[in-house]
Amino acid sequence: MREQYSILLAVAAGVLILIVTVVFALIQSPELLNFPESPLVKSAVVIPHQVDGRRDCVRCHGARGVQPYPARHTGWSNTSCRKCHAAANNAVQMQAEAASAEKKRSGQPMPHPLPGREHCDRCHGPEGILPYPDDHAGWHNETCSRCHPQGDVGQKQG
Amino acid sequence: MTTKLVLRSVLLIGVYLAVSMAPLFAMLIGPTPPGRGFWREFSVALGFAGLAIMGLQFFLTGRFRSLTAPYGIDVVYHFHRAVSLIAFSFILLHAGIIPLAGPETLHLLHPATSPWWMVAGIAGLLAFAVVIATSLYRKQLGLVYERWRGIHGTVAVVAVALAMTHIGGVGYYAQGYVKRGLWIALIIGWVLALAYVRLIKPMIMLRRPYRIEEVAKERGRSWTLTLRPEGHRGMNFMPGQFAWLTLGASPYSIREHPFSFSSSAMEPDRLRMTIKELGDFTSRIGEVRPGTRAYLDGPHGTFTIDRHGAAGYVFIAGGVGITPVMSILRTMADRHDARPVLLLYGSIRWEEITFREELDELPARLNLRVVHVLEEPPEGWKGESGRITAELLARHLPADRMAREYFICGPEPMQKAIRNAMDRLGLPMEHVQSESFNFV
Repeated sequence: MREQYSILLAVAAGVLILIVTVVFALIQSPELLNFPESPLVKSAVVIPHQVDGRRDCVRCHGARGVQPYPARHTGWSNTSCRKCHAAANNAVQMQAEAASAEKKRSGQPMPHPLPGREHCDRCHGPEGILPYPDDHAGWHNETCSRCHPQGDVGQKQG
Repeated sequence: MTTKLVLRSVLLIGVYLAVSMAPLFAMLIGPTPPGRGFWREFSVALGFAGLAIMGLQFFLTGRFRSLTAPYGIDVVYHFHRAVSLIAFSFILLHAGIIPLAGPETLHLLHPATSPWWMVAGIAGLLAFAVVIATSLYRKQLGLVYERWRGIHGTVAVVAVALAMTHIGGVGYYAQGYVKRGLWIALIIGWVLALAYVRLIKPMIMLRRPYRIEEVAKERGRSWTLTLRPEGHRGMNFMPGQFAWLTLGASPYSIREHPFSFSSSAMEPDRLRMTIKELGDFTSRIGEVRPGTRAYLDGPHGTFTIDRHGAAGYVFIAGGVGITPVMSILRTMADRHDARPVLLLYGSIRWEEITFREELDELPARLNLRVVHVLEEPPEGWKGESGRITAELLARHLPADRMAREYFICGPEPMQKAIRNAMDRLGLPMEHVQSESFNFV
C-alpha cells in the first residue's frame, strides 16, 4: 500500500515534469502551435496604405465609407481586418498594391447572374468551359466577386 | 500525522518539483539560443529533466531524517525507485528522439567523428542503464546485497558526472550567468549530499560507537544483539523504529543493514535488535562475537505508536515482524501505558514463536491480549491455526475496533492479505500502519 502511494507520487511528479518539458519545447519551437493559414489569408488584398494611426478601418471601409468593403464583411469589426489583410511593407509595395487593387476593381463584370452559381471554378477552373487566366491559379470561389462585379445581366440575356 | 508534518511534506514535494524543473526554467532566462524544432527541443528538455531527477536521488537516498520524517523512509525509498525509472525513461527518450528528429546529428554517433562530449553522453547513458538493470535484476544477476550497493553507489555517481560533462560539452543551453549558475548550484548540492552521506555521517557515527554486549539465541532461528554505547548516551528512538547496523571496525563500510529495535525505547543505552537468519548477512548473525564494534544510523521509520495516538491498538505480526511490535509492547509496559492492546501473532510452529515466554508474561504488566495463530499447530492445539483471515479477525477484534489504530508487520504477501481482509470487514484503513522494505 505504501509502495503504491510512492509509485503514484512518482508518476504524478513525472507527468508534471513531462508537461513542463513539452511547454518548454513549444516556447522554444512553437511551430506545432501554428495552424495552417486559410487560403483566403493569402489571397486577401494587401492594404495599399500606411496603417499607423488608422486603426478605425470601418471609418473609410464600412458600408458607408469612401471605399466600402464587400457586403459579406458586414458586421466584422476593426480587429478582424488585419487577420487576412496584410499591410504593405514599403512605399514601392504600396504603389504596386494600389495599382493592383485598382486593376482588380476594374475586372471584367460577370455576364450572368450569380445566385445559384457560387462555385465559379466549375466553369472557370482550369478544366472548365471558360477557364480563368493562368495568373488566377490557386484563387478560390470566394475571391472572384471582389474584382468581378455582377454586370448588367438583363441586357445580356435579352 | 500532525499539521506541521503535513505542511512540511507538501513543502518538500514542492521543493522537489521546483528543483527537478529548475534547469528547464533556467533555459528560458537570459540570452536564449534559437529553437531547433519542437522534437529536438523536447528531447533536450527531457534530458535535462532526467538528469535533474537523477541528481536529486543523492538526497532521497541520503537518509536525511528531516526529509524522510513526514513520509517514512520506506516511502522515500520506493519513490526513489519509481522516479528513477521515470528519469531513465526521459534520458532514453532524449537519446532516441534527437537522431530521429534531426538525422543530421547521426554523424555524432560515428566512432570516427564523435566528439568527446558525445562519448561522455553515451557512456553516461550506459552507466545509468547499469544502475537500473542491476537494481531491477539483482537477484537474477546473482549479486549479493553488499556488492550491489557498491556498484549502485559508484556507477550512479559516474553516470551523473558523465551526463554533466555531456551537457557542458554541448553547451547549447549552458551560456549566461543564470544557466551556468543553476547547474553549478545543482552540482554543489549533489556533491554536498554525497559528501554528507559518504564522509560526514560516517564521521559522526565513528564518534558514537557501540559494542556488542550479548548475542542471544531466540526461538524461530532468530538472534538478539544487545548493543551498549561507548562514550555517549546511546540512541533515543520511538518504539517501532529501526536503524542501519554496521558491524566491524569502520562506519565507512557499505556492509550495513536495516533492523528494527526490539528493546524498550525507555532504554536508549541498552539497545536490542532481533534478527532472523534469512539472507546473505543474517544467516551468519549468530556468529557475531560479544565485544564486536558496531555503528548505528538511525533512528528511522514511522511505524510507531508515538506518531499514531489512539484509544487502543491492534498489532498483527508475522514471523520476525514481531520485532518492532515487541519494542512497542516493552515500551508500553515500561511507561505503564493502560491502553488496551490486542496482538495477533502468526507463526509456523509452536516451538518457533519468537519471544513466546515474554509474551506470556507481558499481560501481567500491560492491558494485553495475545492470540497465537499457527500454520502447523501441534496435536491437541485448541488455539487459532492457518492464516490470519477476515473471519479470524472478526472473531477476535474488540468491540471498539473502529477506534483502534492497527499496525501490521510481516512479509509483504501477509501484509497485503491482511489489508484485504481488513477492507472486507470495513475497518478504517486510514488507521492502518505498515512499512515495506522490499526494495531490490
